[in-house]
Amino acid sequence: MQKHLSMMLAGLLAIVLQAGSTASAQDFPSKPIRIVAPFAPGGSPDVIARIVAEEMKDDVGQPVVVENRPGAGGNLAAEYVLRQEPDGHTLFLGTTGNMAANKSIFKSLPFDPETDFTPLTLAYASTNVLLVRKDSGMKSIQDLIERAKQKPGSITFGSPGVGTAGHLIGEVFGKRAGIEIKHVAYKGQAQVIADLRGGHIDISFEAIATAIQAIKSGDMIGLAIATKERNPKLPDVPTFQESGFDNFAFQAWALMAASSKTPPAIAQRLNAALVKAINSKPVREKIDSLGVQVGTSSIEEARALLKAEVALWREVVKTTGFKPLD
Amino acid sequence: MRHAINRWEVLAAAALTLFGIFVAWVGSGYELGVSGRPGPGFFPVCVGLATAILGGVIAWLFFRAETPKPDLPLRPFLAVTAGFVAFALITERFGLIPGTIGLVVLSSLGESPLRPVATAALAIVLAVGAALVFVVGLKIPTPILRW
Amino acid sequence: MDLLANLASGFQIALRPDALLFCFVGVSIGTLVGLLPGIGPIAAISMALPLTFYFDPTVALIMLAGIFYGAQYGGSIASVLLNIPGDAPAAVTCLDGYPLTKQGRAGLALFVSAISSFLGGSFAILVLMGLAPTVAAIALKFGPVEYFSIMLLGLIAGSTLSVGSPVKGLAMVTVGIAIGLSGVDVDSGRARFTFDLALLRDGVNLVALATGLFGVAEILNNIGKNAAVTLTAKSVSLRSMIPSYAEMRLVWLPTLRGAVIGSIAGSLPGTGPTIASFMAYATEKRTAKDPSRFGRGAIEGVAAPESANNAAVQAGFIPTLSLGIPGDGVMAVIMGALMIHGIAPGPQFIAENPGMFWGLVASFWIGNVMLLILNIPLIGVWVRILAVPYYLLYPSMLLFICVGVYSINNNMFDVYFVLLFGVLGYFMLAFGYPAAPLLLGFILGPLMEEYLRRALLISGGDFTVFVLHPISATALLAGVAVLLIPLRGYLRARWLEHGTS
Repeated sequence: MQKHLSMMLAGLLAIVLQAGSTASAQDFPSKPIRIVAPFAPGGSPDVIARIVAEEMKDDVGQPVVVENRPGAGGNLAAEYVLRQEPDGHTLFLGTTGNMAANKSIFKSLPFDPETDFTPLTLAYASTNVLLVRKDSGMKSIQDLIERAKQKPGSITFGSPGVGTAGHLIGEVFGKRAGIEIKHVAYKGQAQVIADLRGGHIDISFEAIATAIQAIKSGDMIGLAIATKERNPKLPDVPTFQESGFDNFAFQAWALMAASSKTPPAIAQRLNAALVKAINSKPVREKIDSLGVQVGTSSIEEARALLKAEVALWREVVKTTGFKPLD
Repeated sequence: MRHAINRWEVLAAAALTLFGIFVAWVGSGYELGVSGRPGPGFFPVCVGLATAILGGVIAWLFFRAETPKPDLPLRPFLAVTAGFVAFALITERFGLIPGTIGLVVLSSLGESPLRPVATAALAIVLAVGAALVFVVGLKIPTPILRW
Repeated sequence: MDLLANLASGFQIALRPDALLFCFVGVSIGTLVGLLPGIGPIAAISMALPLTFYFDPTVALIMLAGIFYGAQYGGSIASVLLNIPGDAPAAVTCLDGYPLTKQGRAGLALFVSAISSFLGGSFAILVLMGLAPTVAAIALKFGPVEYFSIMLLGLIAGSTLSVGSPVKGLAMVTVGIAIGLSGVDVDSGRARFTFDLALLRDGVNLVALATGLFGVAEILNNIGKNAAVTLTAKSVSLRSMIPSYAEMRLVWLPTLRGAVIGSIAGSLPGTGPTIASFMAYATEKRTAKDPSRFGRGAIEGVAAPESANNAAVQAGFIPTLSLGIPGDGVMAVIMGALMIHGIAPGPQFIAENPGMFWGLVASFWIGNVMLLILNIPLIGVWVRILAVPYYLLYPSMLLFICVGVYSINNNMFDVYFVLLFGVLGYFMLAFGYPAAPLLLGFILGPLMEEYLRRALLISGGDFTVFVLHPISATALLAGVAVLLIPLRGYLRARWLEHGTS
């Protein structure tokens, strides 16, 4: 009896507290906002989060800080965010990997990106470019396919790790082109580009930021870009579509998310602040210089994107026959 | 003249061999791969076996060695362990200031004689200093004090 | 001539008041974060990054670079005085720096470390100035095959780099490799030795391992033994810091060799300051007339790795700037900073941004001079830390270790790991098992496996690539030579021993 009573009391208390926090949407934020980045410092998503945080602090009237909690493909950071008070003061920097692809790449995730998180807005989108060395003699996708068919298994492609976008896109490409290309896994993008430049591997599906830099420096060429239309920064690089690969389009995006238990009013307030900051001129300029595209959205749009992307990567994992990781 | 068996050296070597066998055993659970294409289990098995063999070699070389019995007092060990555990547990729940005090007070128990006044003063100075330097200055994300 | 003109224009930029000011700010922050274990230059640079959005890009780069090389100076201080390596390269400095401190010669060790760092850094700057594009082109020739052979050479050369039984040293190398295996296997994506702990997916943290094995183990060993260093007035006097003529003669060649090794290791994107320090130390021990002095307070054992790690840091800018390939995390952050300012590092970088490149190179020199001026008078202050009674000193050291290690991943798990490795190190110390080879195995072992499997994957399982590639073959030959030299000495010693008994 007493146990029941105390449980009821606890439940009541929880409701009161919940209501209390909903009501306080007016004076949100009441303390510094933390953006938890699931990577070590450096790298595009982390740098972009810092740029956005810097811009956002005046609007919300509180400091906005980036906290790095790297580890386990983003799972540690996600779990950490979900453990915090769901009052909108702790945000999560979600990416294609940790929010969409990991669900199919790993046998099990300690959280569900779609139900445990509310995506607040999209932040940016980037894509992949198929890169080869200029002196490789390959000038088009057809050249590449021909060479791979002449000597099966002789073409190697690098990626920054098993289960990364660069890896899976390569596998999808191999399947669709009907060729055998050998995957070589690395620990990060920098290692891939070093070995690609040095001629130790043949091709790589590089993030567009790296690709632009490599093409500009003159020793690499892009054979195709994985978007529906050509990129204005790389006008000479055809799309996969143009080269006969229908619907071969992949995005690497980042979004801001909060626990799905966050009161809706606060989520809306955060959406407004984030969209304003991301769309501001200084942020746009800086993100643009990193070679990625700024793109904001409403909460509903972000949710729809997340759903579509989870489905897309489930499909990718199915087509490539990728064995989920433990 | 022959010396008695050096139990300590043999014990350490045995621990090494056990560790090696453990590594090789866990490693053998991953795919070993084939020659020219080693899998994730190949290297661990080799390293584990090498460690186990080296443990055996050490036991053979040292079992009559004259090295003195290792001096391993228990008290510093317990005090420092308690300090670390207290720091980790307390800082996560209550913040850096109480965590620091816990660490300093407990780890100070390792040295005799106990100096309660000096330790208390040190705990307070360090707690405030750490909060200022690490949390305020270097922005390490941990609360200073919460309950 | 061209070079001089370029350099002159570089100094014009680096000597501007704003550049000077932020260079100073950078190296000062760097020294401070280098002093604290765990809080490395990556954290400091990331925090300073948003500030530099408002700067001129050259000044921003000067400051961020200053933090990086400043940290190398700071890192040696805690290693020499307290046996707490601030980062992995500094662990090598512990090997002879701390024994020197125990002998009351901490001032000398710190002085030599500062001078050697300066000379090593300067040497690498010369390389950067004159040879950056050439070096970068050669660096690209290093693929998985070459790196595998270099890692193997490093393991062989380093496996006996500590005092005591060589077999125990070798066993510690394999234990280090085994610990390094923990985490996700790069080639297959499989998690190995993680025991279902999410944090172990990324492996055991290097700083937690080094701080535990060296720092915590030493503290455990010292408590209650009154073994702490005694400080006399003599050990802080300026006289005691400045090396004698004989000591200078002992040190200059190791410093130079360290600078060369560091410049090479830094120029290769696959190696860096840590490997440079280990290699430099191993080289000195190998070539010394009396290798047994090492680990017992040989001043060359401080000079060579300090020179090497600073050279490696400066040379690390070669692949970053002229190839757009950052060698490590710090360089990745610096490259990110450049890209935000709309500058793309790569083969065209120097031609397109001569002002920035030469301004940066000039600032390196100015920064290194600043560090020297900043550090030498401070040596006296640092040494006085040792005058603090041990019952006050060691709880403070433990606190710095705890907070520093926590800050790496902002995770308490790493704090438990430091304790675990501290206890392991304590037992190792008591049973005569050296810690340095374990650390070396931990660093090189997993890299060696990674490169081996990658090389075999690319070659289609053909082992001959390792002897057919000239750079790789050279490294393997050097490895065999290194293996045979001490074996001869060891056998002779055993033979003599048996002959006389």
